Amino acid sequence: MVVACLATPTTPGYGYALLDTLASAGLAVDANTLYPLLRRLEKQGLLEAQWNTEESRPRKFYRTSPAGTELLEQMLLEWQSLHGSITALRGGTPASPTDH
Amino acid sequence: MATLSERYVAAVCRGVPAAARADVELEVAAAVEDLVAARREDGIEPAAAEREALLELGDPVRLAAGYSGRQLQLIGPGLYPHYIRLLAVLLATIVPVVTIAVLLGTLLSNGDPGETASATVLAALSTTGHVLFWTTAVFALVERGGTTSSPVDWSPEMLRDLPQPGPARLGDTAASIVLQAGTAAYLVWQHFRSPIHDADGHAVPLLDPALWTFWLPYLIVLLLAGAGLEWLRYRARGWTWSFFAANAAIDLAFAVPVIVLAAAGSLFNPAFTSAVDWWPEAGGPLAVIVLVCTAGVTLWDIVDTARKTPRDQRALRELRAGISPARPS
Repeated sequence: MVVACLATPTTPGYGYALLDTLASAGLAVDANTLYPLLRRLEKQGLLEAQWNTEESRPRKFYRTSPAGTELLEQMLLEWQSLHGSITALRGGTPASPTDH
Repeated sequence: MATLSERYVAAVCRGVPAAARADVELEVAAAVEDLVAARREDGIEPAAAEREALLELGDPVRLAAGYSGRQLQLIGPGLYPHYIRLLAVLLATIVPVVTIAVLLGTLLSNGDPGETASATVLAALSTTGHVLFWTTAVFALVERGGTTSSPVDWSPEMLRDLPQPGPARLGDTAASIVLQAGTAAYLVWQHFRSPIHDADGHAVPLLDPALWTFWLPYLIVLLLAGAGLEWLRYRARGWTWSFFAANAAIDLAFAVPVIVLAAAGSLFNPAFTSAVDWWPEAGGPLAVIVLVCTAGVTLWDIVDTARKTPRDQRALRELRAGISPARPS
């Protein structure tokens, strides 16, 4: 969940657009989970947020902060080592990050 | 009247700390507007679009909890094992102690059987309520205090010993037989030996001598039958359902007449109770004690054997099948 949130808004995005992007990527997320999560990640400094008042409605735009990018890299590494372990358990050879 | 969206935003804000309220208000309002706009683009009516958008955001209390990081449970998984353990200890100690204290206190102060019984039941219920409420309240406060560390670490030494399944224990059987035969012997003994003597120096029996015509011999026979049943059960290496039925029948055949006699006030010897000068009118309270104890012991014995029977049956089956003694699952 956190990985998905950090991975998506490398370009500025707002809440609903993010919900849409995640859903079309096959990650259905509840709106009532996503909005508080975005705010928490912002408070932790992993996302940067800005109110955009240029459009018809004010919207909060989020983008991944440098600290967020760092955490994302770290979590992706963990993800891949987990994936490797599961693959090895299932009898295959551990997958390297490149052979997807 | 405020629109549903405005009411929704206000409901979420009520559950968020004041410091974050203004910010959350803007965020939630923007989120609602986005969700409504998306549905309007799909050609849904404004009212239906608003309703659906709010349904997607869900219960405002839940959303507010998400924003403020507040728990949605009274006692969380971190404290739950400690909560249950402490509750069990408190209920098993405080409730019986208070109940017995109230029972004795009321008996000694006025001794009215009806009043005593109602005061005792009321004390047991209210003590249980207090223990449940205050323990829960304290744990809920600790939960909200935000301590994440466990107050007491669990260790393997805290594990309770397993009840021994299977073949009847000789100790249990002996204790039970001694108790029943002892009670039968006491019924005879009390007729000849007593702390109270009449003017001629003859012992005044505790129980009404008129009961010797039928009830006392009847009770003695039942007690001996109960002792015999214990021995048979030991020989059969555990409880079976027929032993359970016989035991329950003997229990009830014993308890019902005793309770009826005690309630009717014809259990004790009037000459005995009126002679006890340090406790005037001892007959009533004594009858209540006998009544409560008999009912309690009988009920406990039936419940206890009902629990032991299936366990013993399983253990015996496994023993016969040559499996090593099973652990209760």
